[in-house]
Amino acid sequence: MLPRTVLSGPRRPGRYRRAVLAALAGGLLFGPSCAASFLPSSYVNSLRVLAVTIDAPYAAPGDEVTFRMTVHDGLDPVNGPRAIQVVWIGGCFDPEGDRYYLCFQQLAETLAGLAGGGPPPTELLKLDLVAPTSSGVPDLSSFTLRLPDDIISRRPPPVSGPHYGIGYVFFAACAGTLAPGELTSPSGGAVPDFPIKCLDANGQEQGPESFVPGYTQVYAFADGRSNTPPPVAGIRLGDFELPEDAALAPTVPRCPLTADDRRKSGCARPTDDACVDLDFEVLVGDVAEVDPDSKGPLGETRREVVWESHFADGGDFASDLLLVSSSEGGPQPHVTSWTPPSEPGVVTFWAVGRDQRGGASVVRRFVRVE
Amino acid sequence: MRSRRCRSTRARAAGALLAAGLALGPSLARAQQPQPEPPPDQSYDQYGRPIPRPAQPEPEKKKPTPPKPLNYVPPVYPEEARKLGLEGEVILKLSVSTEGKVDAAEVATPGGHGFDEAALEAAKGLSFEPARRPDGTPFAARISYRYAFKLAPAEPAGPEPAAVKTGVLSGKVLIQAIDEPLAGATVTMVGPGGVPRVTVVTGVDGTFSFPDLLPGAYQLGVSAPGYVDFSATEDVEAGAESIATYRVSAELAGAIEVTVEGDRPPREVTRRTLEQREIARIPGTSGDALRSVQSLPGVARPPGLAGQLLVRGSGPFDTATFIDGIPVPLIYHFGGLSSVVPTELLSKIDFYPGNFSSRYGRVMGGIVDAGIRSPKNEYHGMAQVDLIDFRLMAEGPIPGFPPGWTFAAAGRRSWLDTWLGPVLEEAGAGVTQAPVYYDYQFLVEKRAPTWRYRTSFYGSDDKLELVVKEPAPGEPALSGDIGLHTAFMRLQFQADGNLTPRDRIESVFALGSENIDFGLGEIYFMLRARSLTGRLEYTHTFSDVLKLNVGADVNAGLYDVKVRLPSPPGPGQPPNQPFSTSVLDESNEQGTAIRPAGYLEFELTPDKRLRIVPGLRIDYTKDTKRLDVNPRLTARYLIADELPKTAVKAGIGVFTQPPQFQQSASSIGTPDLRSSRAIHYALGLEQDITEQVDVSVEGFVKQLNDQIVGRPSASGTGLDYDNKGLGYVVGAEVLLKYKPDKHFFGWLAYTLSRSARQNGPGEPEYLVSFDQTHILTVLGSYQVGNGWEFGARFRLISGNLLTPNVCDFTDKECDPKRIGGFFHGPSGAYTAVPFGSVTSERLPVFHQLDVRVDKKWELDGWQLSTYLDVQNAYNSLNVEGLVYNYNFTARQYLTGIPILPSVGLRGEF
Repeated sequence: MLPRTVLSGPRRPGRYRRAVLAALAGGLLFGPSCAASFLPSSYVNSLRVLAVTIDAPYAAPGDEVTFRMTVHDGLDPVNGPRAIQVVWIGGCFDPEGDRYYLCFQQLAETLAGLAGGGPPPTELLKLDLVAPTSSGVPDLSSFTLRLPDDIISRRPPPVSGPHYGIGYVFFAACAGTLAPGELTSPSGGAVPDFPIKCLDANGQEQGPESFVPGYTQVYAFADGRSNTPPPVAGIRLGDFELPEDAALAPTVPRCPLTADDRRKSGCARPTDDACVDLDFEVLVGDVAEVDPDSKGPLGETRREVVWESHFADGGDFASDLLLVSSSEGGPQPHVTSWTPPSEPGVVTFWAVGRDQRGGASVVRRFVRVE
Repeated sequence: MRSRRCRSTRARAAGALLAAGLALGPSLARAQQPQPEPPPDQSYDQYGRPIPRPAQPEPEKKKPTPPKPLNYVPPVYPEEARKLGLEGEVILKLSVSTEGKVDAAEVATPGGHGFDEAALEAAKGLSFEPARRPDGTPFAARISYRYAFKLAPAEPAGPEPAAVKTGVLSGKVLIQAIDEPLAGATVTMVGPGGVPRVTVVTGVDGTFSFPDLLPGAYQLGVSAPGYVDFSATEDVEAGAESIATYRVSAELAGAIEVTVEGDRPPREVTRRTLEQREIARIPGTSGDALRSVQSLPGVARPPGLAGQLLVRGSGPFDTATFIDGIPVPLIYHFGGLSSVVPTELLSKIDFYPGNFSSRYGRVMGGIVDAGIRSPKNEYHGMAQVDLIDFRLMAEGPIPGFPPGWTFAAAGRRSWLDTWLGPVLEEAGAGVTQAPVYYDYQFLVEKRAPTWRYRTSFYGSDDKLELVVKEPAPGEPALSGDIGLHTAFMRLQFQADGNLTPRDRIESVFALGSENIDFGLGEIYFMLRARSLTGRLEYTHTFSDVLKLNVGADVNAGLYDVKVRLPSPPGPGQPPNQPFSTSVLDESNEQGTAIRPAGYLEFELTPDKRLRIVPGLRIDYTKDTKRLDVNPRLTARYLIADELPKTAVKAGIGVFTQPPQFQQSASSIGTPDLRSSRAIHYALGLEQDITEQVDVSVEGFVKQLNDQIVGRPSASGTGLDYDNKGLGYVVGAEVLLKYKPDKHFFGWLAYTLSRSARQNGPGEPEYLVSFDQTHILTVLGSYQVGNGWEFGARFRLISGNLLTPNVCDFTDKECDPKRIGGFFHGPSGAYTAVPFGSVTSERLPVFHQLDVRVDKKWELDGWQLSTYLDVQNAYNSLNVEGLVYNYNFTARQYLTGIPILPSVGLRGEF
């Protein structure tokens, strides 16, 4: 049994007093502030792309770089995950102003060629299938792209700053069947609709709970600089480091409060002494590298910023993102709290360490709620 | 509230004033009419006629009659004083016997320089009809008697000058609350340099007249026992009669006169005003005069408590605010909680929604110029407290100084922090909030017959601190202290006066400082500025058809900006990452900003019904090295000059606005920008419907070009600015107003407008976010008697516009399966995919009812009043914006302030 950590903080006033104070504060100035808001991003209850990592965020012209995706379907916790189709499409380099959506035309042309019955351009496009049993496994789906030799030289050197090239890779995860879409913008916005859609078994287009499109990018610098993604060693819950194997997962007591009650903020949140919050820490060491483009006011070199994001398919976190290392202050304390769900079962955690130069790595851990 | 003692003092003062006379010739002094001390309580005009008392609530009864003068004995002008060119006055106390003789005379207010002796000597020869009781029995009485010693203007040398045509200034004095004539009020006129003070008393119909006046600007003062003193400056033109109507308020109905002038052509006698009684009781403003500007036509509703002035489709930075002609960075605390100058100190608010005079520049929207009034000549104090703040004010003559020196001091501080912080803390909120604001005003003024000198020191300070315990959603490094501090102060010098009957000077200069601090964890922005601002204007009247106003103004200063801000993503840094994880860059920029301007303006009156004002303003902006030329023209024609009056008015002009600091600063902006430019067109009609009701209608067009537009830089980092923006504003305003009477006042204001922009030629047109097609304000206040008054304001306004990322699910055309965001691998965040074009969704209609109840008690020597002001009385959940979830699949409305009651208590003496 993990030790219990009781939420610390000021003494909670009585129910009547709290109501009066809350009415004064919320009623007079801020309006209805006690209602539950959106579900937090850390709560996985639909098809989610949790991380897309790259082995070399800063590569060299002609290098082969590999992208990896962690994807999980949490829409139906009773029946479990669905099968997931993942498509990767590369081949767009150095769009004007680095604007990713200027690649959509090329993306549509690639897909049109595929729809026309031609052979799939394997160097630009890959289709993966993630089985339900593999849902949520870190870095399961992957795509390797070779950077053009002229990814940098095709661009004129900038007036200031480093000379670089950029490549975009697009992807989509679908709990159904992927199909080419139309490159249109019926609503008149500047960004056209993504030219891929996701269909269910009846051929009906699916929404964002079953379809996640996205993009990622890779850089190549003329000065040959590199960037190593920040590694994540694990997750600590309370005083224990969680195992990779679900069978070895420790057990924590459930929180009797319902999800709606847990997620109410401040004034309206009910209390229950049986509901225990546990310290949650993503284990990322002092891994921040020097960023050659980041200079202090006196010209001193600074390090890259590193932060972590975490996810769970049950319970609630106090914070979704935490700073791990700042450019000047170095490593930062990054402990938040997690409240177990009211339903017993196994809860899966994912933690992603990121730096602001495109590096990322991911781990998955488990805990059992009794 | 004035005490009875003050009333009698006023009665004596009024008597002394009405006894003021005209100089009769060289070395002669004019005797003033006597005024007895009570009892009997009676005054006489210069012809010896008894003056009717102002409206008296008591039933009439017979009273004793005071001594009446039977002759006039001029004093001998002291030779030494005449040689030295000295003038003066002496007030005597005369004991008048039952026979009407002067038994004794003593000097009550000496004049020195031989005037006292001359006055005493002359008084010996005075004789009176003795004071009599109601039954006719004579009795001895003591009265005040004033001699004024005035030198006649020197005879002109050389040939006889051409005859100068004279004009007439006449008018009527009304009691504000009931709009009825005020008889017996003293109207004092001080003319341009060399023209002596003249005093007349209004007749039973409230009228007065000053004939045979040389052309020029005249200062008029109206005083009457029990009523608030009133002053104004009027222009007299040769061969013409200027007619003015003044409304004075009873002392107990409010000690100040504030006018909000909407759309007033510059330097025009006829004015459309909102009176202090209206402003102080407009529901939803807590009696704040400057906030009442937001109920006028042409003014859009700012979002939430933003406190911005959005005038005729112009942006929030396009309207300038002034205090006594000096620009100030803000006029509202914390975006609208209250204004930085208390209503009690305001003399007027000039509001120009467009086509303003050439004396104003550097903005292309509107102008709000709040004037601080002159301190009173008697001691007055006020204290007020409500749920938000408390305020104090004191004013009066400066002890130990000669007459004419007065002071005012006022201050206000919020006390919201003392109860809101603990409330939020104990309520379990994630922040501890402590907003604090204060403002202060100190004023010393010297009033001379033809000049006024004023030194004022005022300022404002707003501070807000938030302590965020947990990082904000999606922002791992955003926690700690969030601070906002805005402060400014001004040390201001003013001098206004007439050099000659045809020449007038108005000057104001100010030294100032401004501090703006913003802190967000490790992020900060600090601005320190020291400014020198001022204006010098000279007016010359050439003839009865031509007047010239020429002036110069300057905005200059030293600034020091220190910033520590997240840098835009650089090469190799994927965009779309959490704001708080960006690399922080520090920079420090110091420099000078010098923006001088010169202007001239002619006032042409070829016909008494027609006034044409062409003007030209030239602005130089040193930081952009640009010269802007702004020609302007307004005209007004009175179609019918008797009730119901009808007037038409029109205007056209060029208005330029230099770039904002962040747009043109070399470190973060684009240095070679030009000023944005607007051409204003306006055409309007004013029509009296009845004596109590009038209506004005005005159409306007603004043609915008050279508008500054920020575009993503080619490198994908930061913004590049250019002047390719275009646009227009077109609209119409209606103001239907019921002027205050004994019980009621109110108005209906409606604005129909459209404000559109293009980011460049050939680019799509879009409506600006603050475009509000319909703005309707209806308000009224009703006095039911016994100190009770009820008021209400209702507003119905089109919702603001925004560019949504998620469509409205209640819309039938909204596809709930639409993908609103792309997952971005390097950051793990979603990139929003805007739904629709720019500002394609209009938020729901805003509607709100504000109500107000006032109760007033008149106590012995002072007045106590309280009010309940309830904003959003039926708790309308008005939408101010949208918020989205992390992957842009859901959205929620962000609503504005709910029902907000405020209770206030006020006492004054």
